[in-house]
Amino acid sequence: MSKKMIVLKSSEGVSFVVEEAVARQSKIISFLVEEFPDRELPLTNMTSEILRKTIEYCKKHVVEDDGGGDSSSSSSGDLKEWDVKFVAEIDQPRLMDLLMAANYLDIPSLLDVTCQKVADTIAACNDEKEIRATFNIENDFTEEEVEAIRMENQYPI
Amino acid sequence: MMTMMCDLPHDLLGEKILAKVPITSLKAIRSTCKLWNVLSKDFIVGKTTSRQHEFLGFMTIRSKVCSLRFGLPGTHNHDALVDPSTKQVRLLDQVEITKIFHCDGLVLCVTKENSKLYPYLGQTKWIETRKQLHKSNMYALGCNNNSKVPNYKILRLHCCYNHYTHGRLSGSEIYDSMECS
Repeated sequence: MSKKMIVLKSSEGVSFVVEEAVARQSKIISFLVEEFPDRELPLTNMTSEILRKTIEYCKKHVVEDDGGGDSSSSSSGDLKEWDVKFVAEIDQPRLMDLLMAANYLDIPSLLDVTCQKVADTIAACNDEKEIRATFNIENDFTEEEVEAIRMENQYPI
Repeated sequence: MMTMMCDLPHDLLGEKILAKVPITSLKAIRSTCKLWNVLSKDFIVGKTTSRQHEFLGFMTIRSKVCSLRFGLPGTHNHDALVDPSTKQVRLLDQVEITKIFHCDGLVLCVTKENSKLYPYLGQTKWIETRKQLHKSNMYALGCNNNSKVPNYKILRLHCCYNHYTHGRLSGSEIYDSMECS
């Protein structure tokens, strides 16, 4: 039984040969495979590193039966644990890249776990200064606006 | 690639990320930058919030107030309860809370010595109780639906409580949330 393979090409021009079922977790790739069968698919906005990570995720999450569409895996507990570990090992900049890749390729479950990780990182910050420092966000408030927000949000949390 | 936070589409940032941050980080989020402040109004406490599929409540852990939230079953792709998470409400660190009630964003905390009304999106108010607290006191937090401006009231019941018989009501007090001390 031979599995159908497709070729994905990163921005550096590196080709990745992937089982079609694995790659089809991306709704975009799924669409492209049908539109352009037997063509290699250039993903010019994804580095090899991020594409490799994305494929690693998709391989883990592929549903083995051939009819399976978007149903989540059977051993969801293990898979969830794996997901947590998967995103925990990625540093902040790469996590953001992976999040964008998941968004671009339309892989809802990967988008969910990466967004959750970012949300958890925000929640772990003690205040806005730490959030800005962590995510390299510029403080674009004027003194007056800071005061206005402070007044608006005077709840003690 | 090096995606920065500012490169994210606003909907994605609001709906998929900020909406997942516990409401206890709201102040920090709103103070981060202008965009986050705007998005937080839509996606954290606004109409488009995904929180209708989420339980948000409060509980006490070792006498400290913590927010508790988890996804409700059947509303996500997963069918189990989704990741309960708790976060301590830090500014109430100093106070030992014995009971906690939550209604429409108002949180009533009963401390060891006093009752405290703690409006979640407004100011904290201490409400001194008229009579000494007793641990068998029962509380209810509710609001008058008839008036245009909701008027929250706290009902406090005093019970003569015996372990082997039913509690018997011996008195009640109503506190207005507008009452300041």
